Amino acid sequence: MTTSVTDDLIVLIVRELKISPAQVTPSTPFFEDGLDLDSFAVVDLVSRIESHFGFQLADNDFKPENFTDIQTLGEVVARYVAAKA
Amino acid sequence: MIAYPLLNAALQAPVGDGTEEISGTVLAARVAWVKEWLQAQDLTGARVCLPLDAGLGSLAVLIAVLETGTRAALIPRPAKADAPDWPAFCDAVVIPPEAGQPIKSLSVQHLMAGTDPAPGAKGLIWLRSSGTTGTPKWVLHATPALYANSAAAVVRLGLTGQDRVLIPVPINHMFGFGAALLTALQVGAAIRLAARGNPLVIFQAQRSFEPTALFMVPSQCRSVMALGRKAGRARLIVVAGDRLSAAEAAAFEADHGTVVNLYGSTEMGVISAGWPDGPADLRHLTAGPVLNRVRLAVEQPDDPDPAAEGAVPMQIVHAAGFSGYFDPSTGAITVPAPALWPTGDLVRLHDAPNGADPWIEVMGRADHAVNRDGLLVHLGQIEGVLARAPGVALSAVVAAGQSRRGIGLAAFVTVGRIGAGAPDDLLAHCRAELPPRAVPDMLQILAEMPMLPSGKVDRRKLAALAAENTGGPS
Repeated sequence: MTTSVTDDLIVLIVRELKISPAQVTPSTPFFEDGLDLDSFAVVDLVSRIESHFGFQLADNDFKPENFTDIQTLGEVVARYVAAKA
Repeated sequence: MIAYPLLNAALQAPVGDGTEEISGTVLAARVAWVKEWLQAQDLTGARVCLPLDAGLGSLAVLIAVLETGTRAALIPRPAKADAPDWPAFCDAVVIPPEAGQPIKSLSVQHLMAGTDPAPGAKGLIWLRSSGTTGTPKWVLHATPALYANSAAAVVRLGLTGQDRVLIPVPINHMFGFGAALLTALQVGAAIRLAARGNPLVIFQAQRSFEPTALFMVPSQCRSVMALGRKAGRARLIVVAGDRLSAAEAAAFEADHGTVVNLYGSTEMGVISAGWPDGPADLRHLTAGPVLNRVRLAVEQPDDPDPAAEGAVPMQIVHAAGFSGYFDPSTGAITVPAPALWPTGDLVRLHDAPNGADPWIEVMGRADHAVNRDGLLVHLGQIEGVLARAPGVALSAVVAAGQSRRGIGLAAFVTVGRIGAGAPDDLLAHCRAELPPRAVPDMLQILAEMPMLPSGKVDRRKLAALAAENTGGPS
């Protein structure tokens, strides 16, 4: 479940950020030494993830630890997807 | 040892950086340890460089340096440890521990500085100005003047020891250092430092720390607004740097707490700020009246230029401003601070409701205003409108050649990689929001905004780019 959500997340990120799939792996960080998202890009990305997967991230999950890398966020998203199923 | 006391040992308010939170007593113990270390290393009479970040190690070392009167140049901690750009006039670099590391892991690196022109001098702080109009300058401050300016800001902002102050701006710049950190330390408020730039960090700090006062720059306010979440109301949100529009300030206030604009500079520290209990329309439009110790010296022309629409050059006399500009190669003050200081901005003055000092609306830099259709256009106003367009990350407008309306205007933006508008959409947004004379003649989306080392936009590069695009001189 987590793997497929993370894969979906990678596809979404590659499409929305218009970057090469070769640049992104599950361990790619969102910020420094990774995708280097700026403050507005992270806000936009969250809203795209919410609409793509059909949930709203709870305030409690809006924390930097959940945005360490794609795998970490994938696990958070997978939790929401599982709760919906 | 000369003392410039900052910490009141009786104060128990906690300080934190998101990694750890410690009591005021523990902070005082760490500061005391660093003071002894500075003496043991024979550094209290030296000129030290302090690379600072948003961690408690940086905070403890900075306080120890201030309280021992050690002369220090404040710079941001270099992102890459292998390519540091230490100021040449410093004798040593004192590298504070990173967040979460023990205070005793601080280190010193001795440099080959030149002769000290003022051996034994105490209580001096160098800050690097942003270099908006050219190359960055080193600005010299006397610690007592910095403290006096912060004390005046405390009165204006109404800060007390009961406040919980969130500082998500760099403490090596005047806003984070003089306006936020020194004021919070002087009243013994609880303090949370946070790294700049990431709205997730600010949001989490709002929820976990429950600040009563926040010091933010407009881009942070905008990204927090874009996040669309509410995390409790603060008593006070102090905004400085570029300007929020009055509409943005009102919107931010509705969700997050009372917004007060603060106006200042690396040279003069805090010049003015709104009274938190002042009328909302003035608080949102202006940066308030000048602080105590600052005198407004604006001259209203006998024969005002109608193009200026009431905007006049801002001038002040500041009893607690900087000492002078400093030449890092010779170690001497090159330009002593003049008594009458033109800030370089154009301002409009608004009558205060109680007949007191006028509230100051900052229009933008005088050299960032051009005449079009017979009226002044403030480039900062256009930049603000572009910054609010969907998908825009950074925006800058420069004068470029001539157009039918007068001096030509070239706009440059970078866009978030998601939801970006095309240049025509962005110009349509400008037409909807601005008078026709202020709509840029050309707009270009850049992959990356050219920046100065200070983090501000490199306008000279943009002017050169605009000249290339229009085929004329910049």
